[in-house]
Amino acid sequence: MDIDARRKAQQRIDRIALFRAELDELEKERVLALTSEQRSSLDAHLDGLVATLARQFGADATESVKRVSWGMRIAVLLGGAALIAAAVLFLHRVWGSLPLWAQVSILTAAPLALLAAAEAVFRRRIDLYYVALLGCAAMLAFILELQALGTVCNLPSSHHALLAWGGFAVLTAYAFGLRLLLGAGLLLVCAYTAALWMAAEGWHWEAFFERSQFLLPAAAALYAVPWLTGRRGPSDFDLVYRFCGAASGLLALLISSTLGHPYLSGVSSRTAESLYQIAGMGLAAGVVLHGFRLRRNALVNLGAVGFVVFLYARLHTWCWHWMPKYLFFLMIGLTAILLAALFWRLRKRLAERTVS
Amino acid sequence: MRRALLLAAVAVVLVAQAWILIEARRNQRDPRGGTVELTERELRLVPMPAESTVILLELRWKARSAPAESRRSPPWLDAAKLAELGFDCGMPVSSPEARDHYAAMPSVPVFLVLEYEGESGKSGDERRKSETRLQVVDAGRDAPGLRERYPDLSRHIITRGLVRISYQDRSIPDDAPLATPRLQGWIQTILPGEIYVPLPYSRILDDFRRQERSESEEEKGEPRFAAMISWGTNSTPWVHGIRRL
Repeated sequence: MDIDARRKAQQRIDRIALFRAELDELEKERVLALTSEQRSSLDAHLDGLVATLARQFGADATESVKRVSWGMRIAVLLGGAALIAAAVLFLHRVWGSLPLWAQVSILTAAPLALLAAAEAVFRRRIDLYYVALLGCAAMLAFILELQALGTVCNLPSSHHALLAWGGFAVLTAYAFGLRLLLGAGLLLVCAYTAALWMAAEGWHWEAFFERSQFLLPAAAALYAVPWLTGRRGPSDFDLVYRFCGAASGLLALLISSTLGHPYLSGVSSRTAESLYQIAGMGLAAGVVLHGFRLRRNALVNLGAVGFVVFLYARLHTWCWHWMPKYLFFLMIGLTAILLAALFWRLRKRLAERTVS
Repeated sequence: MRRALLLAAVAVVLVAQAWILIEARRNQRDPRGGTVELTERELRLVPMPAESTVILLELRWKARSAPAESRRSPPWLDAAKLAELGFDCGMPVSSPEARDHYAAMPSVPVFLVLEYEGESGKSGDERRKSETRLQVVDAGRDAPGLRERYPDLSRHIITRGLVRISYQDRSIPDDAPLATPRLQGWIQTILPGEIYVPLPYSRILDDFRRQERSESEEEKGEPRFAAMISWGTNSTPWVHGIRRL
C-alpha cells in the first residue's frame, strides 16, 4: 500500500470541496453557467469519487466528519497519554517486587507490542494519525526501556543509546510514512554524531551542547540528503530532512554564540561569538532564500525566525550594556517593523510575479 | 520493503537490550573494581516518588583533603593532575584569554579511586561517626593502571566519574584575589551515583524506606543496614548482599 496514497486522497477530497465552493461562487457571479444535466453529472461523479476515496483510504469526506475526527483524535491523544501514565506508574509500583527476567520481559514487550499495534492499525487503513500516535508511543517506550534497563544494571549512560533510539525512529517512520517520528529520529542521530565526536575528543558525551558546533556536520549532511537521494521515499520526507538539518544548524550556532564562553579553536571567545552569530544570520538568510526557491513555507518560516533571533542576539551583545533599556527596546521594535516592511515588499513582489 | 523496515526496527530493540545485558554480565564476571561492605553512612536510601517500589542507594563520598567550603575540589587535583587526565592546560593562567579558555572546557570521564576507611573511621567525635568513610583519593584515565597502584580490592574501589576544571583567581574561603591564578579540578559526580538494589535484597531495605528519618536523626543515628557491593570489569557496581545492623 502506498503510504502517500492516504495523504493524497485527503488532499484530493479537500480540493474537491474547494472546487465545489469556487464553482458555486462562479455560478453566482455568472462567469460560468453549467446546464442542470452537466451539474448533476459533475456532482454525481464528485460524490462517487469522494465516497470511494473515503472508503478506500479512511479520509474525511465532509467538514462535519472532519470535526468529529478531530474530536476523536484529541480524545484518543488524551486517553493514550493517560493510559501510558497509568502503565508507567503501575510498573513503578510493582517494579521492586519483580525478578530480573520479568523486568526484562516487560521492557522488551512494551515497544514491540506498540509497534505491532501500529502495524495492525496501518493494515486496517485507519487514519494515519493513530498510527503516528502508536509509533510515537513505541518510540517513547523504547527510550524508557533502555533507561530503565540501564538503571537496573547500574550502567552509566552511553551515547550509543542515541543511535539506537534514532535508528528505531527512522526505521519506523519509513515503515509508516510518519514525518514527526522521522524528525525525532533525525535529530537523535544528529545528536549522536556530536556525542560521538565529544567522546572521541575525550570529553563527557552528555556535554555535547557545550560544543554544539559538533552538530554542524550532521546538520549539513541532513540538509543535503534530498539532493543525494534524488527525492526518493515518501513525499515531504525531503522537507523533514531539510527542516531538521536547518534547525539543528541554527540551534547549534545559536547555542555556540550565546553560551557565555564560546569555543572556536585558535580564536578568542569574543571573536568566536561574533563569528557564530554572523554565520547564524547567514545560514538563516540562506534557508529563507532556499525556502522561497523550493516553495516550502516551513523553511521560510524557520529561516525568518532564526534570522530574527540572531539579529536580536547581536543587538543585545552590541547595545545592552551601554544603551538605556527603553532605547534598546525601542530599537528592537523599530527593527521588527523594518523587517515586517521588508517582508511586505517581498510578498508584494512575489504576488505580482504570480499574477504576471 | 515495509516488512523489512519493521523487522529492522525490532532488531534494533532486541540488539540494544542484548548489548546492555551482555555488558552487565561481563561486568559481574570479575569484581576487579573492588568489593566492600558499606553501611548507611556511605549509602543513602533515595526517596522515590509516589508509590514506587524501586530501591536505589546513593553513594555518599568526599574528596580526600578537600576543604569544607569546597568538598569536591581536593588539592591533589591540581594542574599537573588535570593535564594527566587529558585537560589542555597549555594556556598560561596569566593570559587574558585563560578564563574563557578553561571555562569552555567540558567535563572529562575518568576513573576514580574510592578509599574505604572501614573500621578506622569509627573512632573520633560524634559528628565523624555519621560521616561517610568513602573518600576519593586519586583519579586516572586507565583503570588497570590505577588498580596496579591501589591493589587492595577490599579497601580501594575503582569506579567511573566526571572531573571538571575551574580557573580560580580568588581564594575560596574569603574571596580574596590570588597573587597568581591557578587551575583547580573538581569532581563533578561518580557514575552511577545511585545503585539499584534488586530482589531479594530490596525487601530488607523496603522497611527502612518507609521509616522516614529527619536530617538530625540521620546525623546522630547509627546505621541501620550494611550492603555488600562489588565493582566489576566495567567499573560499575552491583549489590549482592544486604543485612540489618
